[in-house]
Amino acid sequence: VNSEHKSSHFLIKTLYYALVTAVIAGVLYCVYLFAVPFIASILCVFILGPVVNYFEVKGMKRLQIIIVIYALIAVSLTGAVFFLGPPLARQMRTIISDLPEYAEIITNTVSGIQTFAEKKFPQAAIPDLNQILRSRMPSKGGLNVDSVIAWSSSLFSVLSVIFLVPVVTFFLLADGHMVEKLLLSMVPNRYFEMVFMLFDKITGAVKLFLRGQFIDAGAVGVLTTIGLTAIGLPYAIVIGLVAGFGNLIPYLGPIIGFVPAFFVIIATGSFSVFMLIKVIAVFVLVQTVEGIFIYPIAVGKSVNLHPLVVIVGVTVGGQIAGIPGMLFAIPVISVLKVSVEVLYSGLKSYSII
Amino acid sequence: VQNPIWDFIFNREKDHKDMVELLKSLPVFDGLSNNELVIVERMLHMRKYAAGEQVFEEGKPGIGMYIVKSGEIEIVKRIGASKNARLAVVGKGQFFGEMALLAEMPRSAGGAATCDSVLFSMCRPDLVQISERNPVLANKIITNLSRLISLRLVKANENLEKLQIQLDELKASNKKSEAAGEQ
Repeated sequence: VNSEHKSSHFLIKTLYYALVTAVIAGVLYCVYLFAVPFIASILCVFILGPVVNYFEVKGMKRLQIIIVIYALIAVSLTGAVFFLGPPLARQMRTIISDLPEYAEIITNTVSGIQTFAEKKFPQAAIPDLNQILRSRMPSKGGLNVDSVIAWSSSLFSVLSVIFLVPVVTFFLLADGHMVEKLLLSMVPNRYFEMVFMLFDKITGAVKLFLRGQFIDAGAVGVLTTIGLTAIGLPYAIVIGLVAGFGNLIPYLGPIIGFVPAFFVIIATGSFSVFMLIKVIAVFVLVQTVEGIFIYPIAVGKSVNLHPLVVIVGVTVGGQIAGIPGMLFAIPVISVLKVSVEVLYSGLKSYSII
Repeated sequence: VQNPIWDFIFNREKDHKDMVELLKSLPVFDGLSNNELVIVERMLHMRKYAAGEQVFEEGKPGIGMYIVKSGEIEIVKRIGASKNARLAVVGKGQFFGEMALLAEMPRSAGGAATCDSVLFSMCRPDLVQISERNPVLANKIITNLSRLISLRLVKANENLEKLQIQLDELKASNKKSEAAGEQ
């Protein structure tokens, strides 16, 4: 009788675990489908959370604060579309329409370099650089706004991000603790303390890191835009955006911002040593200000990735997901590194590993 | 059954009120207003333990304190390799493990349920969150905790003094009996 009893338990257990596995698989599939808006919402929560807490301490109700923040964001976004939108769109449009012309200037420069090199080193077999360059360049009219949009994302993912991110962010900001409590309630007693501690430490470290990176990148973007506008370089907003995002990558960040600036100097035909010095001065100044004033406050103790890890990470990221992959490789690696470090010391203290 | 999912959906009123009443009677939450008790109640994690199940193990990092809603928990300390000493039995409406709320350190004793028990836990991350969102409330809780721990320290010192006196007496009588044996 006892063994029969046991086998029926086994059946129930198996069914239970199968059900749990199915639920987890289902949840993971949903997470996969909504990964982008979901991660974006969590980022927003990490950034907005302290703001909401700050005003809650001042005695306001959480829900009211969130509504006020949403209203402010809506107003400033509308403002940004009105004031920043037209120049940004104009810069984008001129870049796209002037690209063939710039290509011409660059190929001419390259031809100059090639004839110079052939004269200097007649015995070296120098390949036709221009041909290589041309084969990789967009032809006239090959790059238009439609193809850019089609390339960047489908309509669905754009809509899902636009509608889901504010909604998910709203509920996480208002009731985030309940979600956390719900997840923790599913952890078996034996692991409750350990899971809670690890969860808390990992989210704490990741929060600090991402918040710092966001503030740092934003500051570099804004400062670069202001500096380049001041010296009168065209496409300052676009280059500022690139420099801001590029700042997510340690060591390479400043160069990533400088490369498009350098190309703009050459391609717009406004090349002069004085202009080049001015642009370099802006980048050096921005990096100095960032290094002395912003980075120590915003990021503080850095994650400290070895330069080799950065190089390999950026390369692999590029292979997997192109330019976004290169940009987000280092933040992802940093987050993983912090998580594994916390996990390691945590599991060790519970003598599980 | 009380369960965070249904809690989340239906926001059960009565259970919450019962819990607030229980919290009111605990010395850790002395001086808290009803609104503050509701905030604390929302933070708590409900855990159910079967008879004999361990709540936490001695020597493992602790994360928070537990309030006994129903059932009974025994606090046990290992002495030497094989002996266990029962330090306390914690019953309904009492709490234990509060030292872990203040500092991240190994549990000084283990805790296990002697019968089926329902506990509510309040953990360090919860206290940190309270202090970020409501510093006045966090301040009250931490002051209460410090007071309780100071009182316990005073008691421990008194015990230590008593033990010292007993030890001195024992030593003195030992010396006497030794002297008597030599003669």
